[in-house]
Amino acid sequence: MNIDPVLLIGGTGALGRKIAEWLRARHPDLPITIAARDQVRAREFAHVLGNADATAIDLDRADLGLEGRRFSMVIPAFKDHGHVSYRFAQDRSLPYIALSEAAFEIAPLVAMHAHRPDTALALLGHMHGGLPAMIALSLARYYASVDAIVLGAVFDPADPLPPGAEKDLERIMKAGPPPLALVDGHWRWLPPEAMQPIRRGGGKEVPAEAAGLTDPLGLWAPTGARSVRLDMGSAPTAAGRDGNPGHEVMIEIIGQTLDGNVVTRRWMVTDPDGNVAFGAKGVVLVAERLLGLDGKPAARPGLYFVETLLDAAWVQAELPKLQLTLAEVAIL
Amino acid sequence: MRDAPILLIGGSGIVGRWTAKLLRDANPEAPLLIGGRDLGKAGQVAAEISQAEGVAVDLGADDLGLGDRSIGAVAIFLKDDRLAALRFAQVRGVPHIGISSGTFEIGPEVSAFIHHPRAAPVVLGSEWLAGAAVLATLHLARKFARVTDIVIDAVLDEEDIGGPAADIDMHRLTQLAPAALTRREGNFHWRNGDEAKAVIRAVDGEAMEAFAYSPLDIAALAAVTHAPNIQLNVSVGMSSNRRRGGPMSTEIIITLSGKTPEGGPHRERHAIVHPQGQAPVTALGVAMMLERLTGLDGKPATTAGVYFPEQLIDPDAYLRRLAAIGGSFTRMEDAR
Repeated sequence: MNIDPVLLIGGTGALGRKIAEWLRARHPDLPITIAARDQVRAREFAHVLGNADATAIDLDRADLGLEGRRFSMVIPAFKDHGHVSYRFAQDRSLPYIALSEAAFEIAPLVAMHAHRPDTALALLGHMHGGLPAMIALSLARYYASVDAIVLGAVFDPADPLPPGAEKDLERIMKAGPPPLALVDGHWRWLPPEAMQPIRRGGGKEVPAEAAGLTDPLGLWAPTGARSVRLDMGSAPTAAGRDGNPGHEVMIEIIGQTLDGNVVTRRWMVTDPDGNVAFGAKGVVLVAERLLGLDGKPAARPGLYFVETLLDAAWVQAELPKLQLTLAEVAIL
Repeated sequence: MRDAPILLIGGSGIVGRWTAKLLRDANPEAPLLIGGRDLGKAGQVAAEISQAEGVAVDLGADDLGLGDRSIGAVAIFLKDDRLAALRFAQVRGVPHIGISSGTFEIGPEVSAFIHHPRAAPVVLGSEWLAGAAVLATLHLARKFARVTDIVIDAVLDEEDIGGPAADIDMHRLTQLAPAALTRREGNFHWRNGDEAKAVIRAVDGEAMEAFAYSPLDIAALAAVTHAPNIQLNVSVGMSSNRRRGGPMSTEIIITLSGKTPEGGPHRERHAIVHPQGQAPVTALGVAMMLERLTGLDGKPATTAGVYFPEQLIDPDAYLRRLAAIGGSFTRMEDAR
């Protein structure tokens, strides 16, 4: 493939590995550079991956210590508190995926982009790389108008968030405002009394907390929904592959059907490989689109959410290839 | 768009009235619409200004209750949590300026831009006093090859009535998200608890208790200067001017440290003071942004995009005009 390597920073962490593996699975010829602190681990992983190499990285230098090396895009699979890797991408006009920013903390990246708008910046602080949001957007096509969307992620106790995401959530809880949601047309920071359980199939419920990720910001405009929220809870989920726990995301949409009835429908998306793999697949679809690996032209410079990059119907059709299962569940 | 009126929503409030006055003084022919919930009050304010008309604005309606009235630009002086005014501006393809969002609150506005990037200019104008501190900092930064530390200390006199909208903003911003964004050794960080407390030196040297606050200044200054250390503190109390028996005033004390082009260490400490308080200073930023966006300044109107104040206003031009409306920008003795 005649393309420079994708620079995957933090490429040996749990999420970084899954991103690399899915990029490799879908694009055998795409070169990947694994940047990580531990060079031994990075080289080992690059070797297993194939068509990949490893590099050290110096976050105290504007060129990250990568002087002279060429890349096609930058994906930081770690929380870059100084946004130095985005500045690096801007210096080289490379597309960039920002994975860790909750709804309340996007300002520094937005300011950097506003001042230098000549790269593609995907704000992908959505849950699971934006896949649940894209599936919801696709399901919204079954409605004439959408009133409310609720996304609910059910984490199996044996499949916790990876350490990086856990740290992100801790930071959000400590420093951030309450979770942002769209409530009846108004942007609201949800107080504790607004928490609600995730409703699963068959009338079962899981206690949950709302999460202030960027999904509501991405979903309100293309659906016209008046209420959008995102909840996270913990409960045993459907069994995954090889005895491992799976991961489950509930999508509930209330709206008017094409024949004029107001209905509530609920779907379940499951990943037999757990929550980290789920998220990595979302990142990979965005990376493909930014680079134009899907056969369409590469994304133009600009500020993006996943909803403005990907086509919802295409994402839904792609789910089997991503080993994700989508099924409607009974409400009662 | 230059001939269509500029709509000031919340235009009968104190900052809105100042904005209308400054726009009128510099642009005698530009038509203005003073928008308020209460048509009577908006009409009264409009009557004091030539070429201005009062209108009732309904933020619960998609057309803001304005029907098919022609509009050239929208500035809003209160928090609009439905984004009604922003969506209206995008549908009309005209610029929108908001100045009431905390750093943590810009998500919905950014989202509106991301979903319709080619609709209109969207200005994230919620820097301290609509760009005053950032613009003055950027003016000073020109003397440096590299800026390492930026400290912005603002004194808001407790008698400096920002009007109910400003009071609501500050209450919401400090209650909802007590942590304030800062940049420390290159990393963005939210100051919280004791870390968010500070003692600042007012213009007269008086030590005043202050708290960390995060308008968009931190994000904007980091993007432009790449300074690794940036903080902003606000003290609400008695301004220096009032302490010595004068009227209340607004103060912004800006300290920059770094290296000169010759490589030596350098430090600059300057203060903005306006003896009529924060309103004229905030209004100046909004007025100059509106002049740039609409092309009232004689240059082509701004194209669609997401903007911060310093992308629309030249720092030197701002400081000249600040002086012309009674403000000052002066070098201070170093308080170290």
